[in-house]
Amino acid sequence: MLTIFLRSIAAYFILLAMMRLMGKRQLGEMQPFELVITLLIADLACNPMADIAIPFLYGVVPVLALFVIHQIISVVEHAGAFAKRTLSGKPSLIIGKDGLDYTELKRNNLDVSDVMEALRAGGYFSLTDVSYAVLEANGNFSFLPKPTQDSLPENFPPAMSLLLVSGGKLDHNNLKLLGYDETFVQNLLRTQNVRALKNVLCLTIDPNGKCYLQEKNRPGITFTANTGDAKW
Amino acid sequence: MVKNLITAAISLLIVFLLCFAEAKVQTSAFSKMHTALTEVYQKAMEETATEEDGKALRLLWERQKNKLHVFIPHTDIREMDLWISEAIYYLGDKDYDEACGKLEVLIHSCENVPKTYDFSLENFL
Repeated sequence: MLTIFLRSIAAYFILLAMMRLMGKRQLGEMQPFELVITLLIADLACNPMADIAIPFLYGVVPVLALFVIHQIISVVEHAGAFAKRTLSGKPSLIIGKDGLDYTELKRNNLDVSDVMEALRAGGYFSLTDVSYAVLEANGNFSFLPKPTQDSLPENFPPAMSLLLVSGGKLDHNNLKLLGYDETFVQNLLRTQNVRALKNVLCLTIDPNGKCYLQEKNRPGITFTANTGDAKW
Repeated sequence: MVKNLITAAISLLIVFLLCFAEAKVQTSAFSKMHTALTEVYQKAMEETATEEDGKALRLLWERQKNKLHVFIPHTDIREMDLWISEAIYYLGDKDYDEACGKLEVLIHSCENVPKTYDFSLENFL
């Protein structure tokens, strides 16, 4: 009994150390690879806790193996957009400016009642209450509410930002959505005296032309750009 | 990112050290037991083995299993305990046919139990 008791305590502290080292995302919204690890890790640690015929190392080594996988995948995930898309998936725009996107619904195995349920969980009771809805890679919905009459002037309709640059790299998919190319981004950066794309931590733009630009180790700035015939 | 790589490297190092220790302890323990069992088996075949030989085997096994408990399930260790006990009984009773049978099982276990925990395709699948 005492052995089981002490093993349980040891397993608890080992798991706690692993979860702390893996980071806060393990506790909050998880990416698919993190969810798999979280499901497995508890089960693996349990076996030697309850059965003293199994060596304690038979619980520790699998937990270490999962920890190593997690750390490596975390590094690979940030290596590029393709790796992140493959490992974590990408967000889907479920409600856009034209309303519900049927193709995205089918692609994500959703129906309208699922979207309505998510809306209600988000505090919205009608499809007309939101301008945009995004199904994130971790399965959560994010909503951009429609403004009330008083909150925004007419010439600034609700708008969802697109990420154009992240960590010094262009997001070509979003650029294609916008209908522009790299020159557009370079011109935008030139207007703000940013010399090199690799210095840009984050650049977003919305259909109203409102941009957020932040260089590495510098505060972010907002400015308005001419988006021309933006498509989204 | 650097922290991720460092912690992953440290974990891998710990795992490799444990694998190395497991291989070393298992090989050493079962190799010593195999040698001792073979000697007693020879003596049993010649009908010169005694209960004292059996008890010496048990003493050797007690020393080895303290280290083995860390790396292999206790059920495998218990199997060896039971077979050794039976062998000692038959040696004491001078029933060499039965004793040889038990000793042969023990020798076979010493050869095959480590293989169960070796890294191989059969064990992986």
